[in-house]
Amino acid sequence: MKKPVELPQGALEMLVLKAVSLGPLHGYGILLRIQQISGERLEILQGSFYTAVYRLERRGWIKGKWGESENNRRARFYSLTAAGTRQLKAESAKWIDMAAVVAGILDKKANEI
Amino acid sequence: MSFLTAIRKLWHSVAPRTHSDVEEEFRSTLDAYEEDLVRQGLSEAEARRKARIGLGRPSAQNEIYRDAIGLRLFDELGGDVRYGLRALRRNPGFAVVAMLSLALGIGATTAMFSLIYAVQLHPFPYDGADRIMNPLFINQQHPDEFQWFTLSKAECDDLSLAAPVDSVLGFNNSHLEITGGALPEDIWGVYLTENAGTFFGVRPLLGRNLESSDADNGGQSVVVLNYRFWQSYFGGDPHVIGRTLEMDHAPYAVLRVTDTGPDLSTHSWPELVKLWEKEDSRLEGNGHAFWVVRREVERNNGFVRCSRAAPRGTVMEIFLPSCRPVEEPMPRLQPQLIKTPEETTILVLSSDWVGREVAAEFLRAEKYQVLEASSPEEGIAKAKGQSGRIDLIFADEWMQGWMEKVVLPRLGRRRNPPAVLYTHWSSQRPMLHLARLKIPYLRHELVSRVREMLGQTREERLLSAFPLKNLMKVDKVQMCEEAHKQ
Repeated sequence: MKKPVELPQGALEMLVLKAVSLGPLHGYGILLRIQQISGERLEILQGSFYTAVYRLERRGWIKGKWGESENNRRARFYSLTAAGTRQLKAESAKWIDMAAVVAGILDKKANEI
Repeated sequence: MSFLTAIRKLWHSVAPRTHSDVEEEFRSTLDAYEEDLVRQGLSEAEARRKARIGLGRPSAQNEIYRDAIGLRLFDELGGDVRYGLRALRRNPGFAVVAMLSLALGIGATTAMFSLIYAVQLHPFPYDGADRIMNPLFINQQHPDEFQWFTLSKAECDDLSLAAPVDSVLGFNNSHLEITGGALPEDIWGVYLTENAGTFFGVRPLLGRNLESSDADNGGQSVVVLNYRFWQSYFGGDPHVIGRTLEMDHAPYAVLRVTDTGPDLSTHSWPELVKLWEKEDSRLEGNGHAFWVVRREVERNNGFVRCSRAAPRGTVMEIFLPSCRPVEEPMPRLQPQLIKTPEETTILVLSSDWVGREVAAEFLRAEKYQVLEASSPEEGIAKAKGQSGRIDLIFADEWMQGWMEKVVLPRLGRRRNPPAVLYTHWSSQRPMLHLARLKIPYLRHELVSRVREMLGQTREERLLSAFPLKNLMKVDKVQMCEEAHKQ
């Protein structure tokens, strides 16, 4: 098992958007999905997870709806709205760009600078 | 109830989810996690403990929700208000006292600040009152004695060109007297430049404001009344517009000079008036003559106006308001008073035929109409036979008594008697002497004296038409240049 990674600010919201974009998920489902995609390297249980969900819902990027979970429990399922889709697209492009630039700079060898 | 529905809708838009909804969702997530942990082999109690450590308590979730959607401050305030209300309910006596003192305090403060606002902070109902400045000169040694910022017209125009200055309003506070009514009434008036209407941006209740056309040709006599004066003097009469308000015994005395020479174009009038200005305030002396004249005219609240004469030529008018009441009616000065020598009849009255003939000859040579008589009786008879009036009597000094008691009364001209020039015969030299001056005189001296008495010298005519000491009493004088061609 690899070392856990600390998330920078704002990244959690993006991850939630990404998790939900693959299909409607309830809260715990989102947690599991993120852990699964990240290869168990993200530890996001502590408090901040639901704060991110509430904020996204408030901004209208995801939409919650009560339904039945796989083990017949009442659970609130979140799905991506049109605005959320646009936001995810824009944010991922930005993030990938930024990460590439930072990584590119850090990868330079001393003789290349 | 539509009002309550509206409130509920509004509240729903602020906080879309209820307390129980949030808590239920959280519990379902918590349970799912717990079950997962149990499936991984933990005991139920341990799974519950670990789930709570990981996700938090359900009771705290609503707070996290409200914090996330930005309602935390609102909640804190709400808590404070609830606490306050509970405290007031517990102590009703205290509540009453607190509310009364608050009400009194708010009332008193509102009244006080309304007063301060009305009196000090916002006293002028003008457009952009905060941008209106009245500059003063203040001496650092005597800061309480300030001086008004007086400017000439040219300086005022210069100032209005300065970038930070939007527009310049010229004003001159003046003490005026309302006349023309039963009793004169003292008032304070302000002479204003023509931009006053737009400068203050105050809409008049009736009629119109001052307009730029009011400044044409040196200014019009237009008056804007303030509300209080309108109420007190005219009793709020709505038909006051267009009436004449006589101030300081205006109508003005008008000195009008007309030339019939080539037209001055309207463009050159401002150039003409420039001559009436002081070129440079640093020059020594008090300026050129025109400027001095204008200053005197303006000091008397008069003004100068140019216009075109018909059919050609230029009219220049000096308007001077009269300053004090006319105690007695002044004889109206008519242009025909000033006659040409051909129109002037002189009666030469002398018992000495040599003196009589010499004087008559001198006067005829100047084209005067001359009547000769050797005695007062003959003089009266000749004067009565004359259809026109006698303008001047040339008489022996000894006839003075006769003249005043007999001749003048019988000529019947009490209001405008002819001028009388007394002469006497010098025994030493065969020459006429002016009676009063006792100096021998030659022809040109006699003629100039006669002209002077008839007001026919240029200076004399101007002086008699507009006597300086009576300047303010003259009702209206019209002088035309044609009338005194020489």
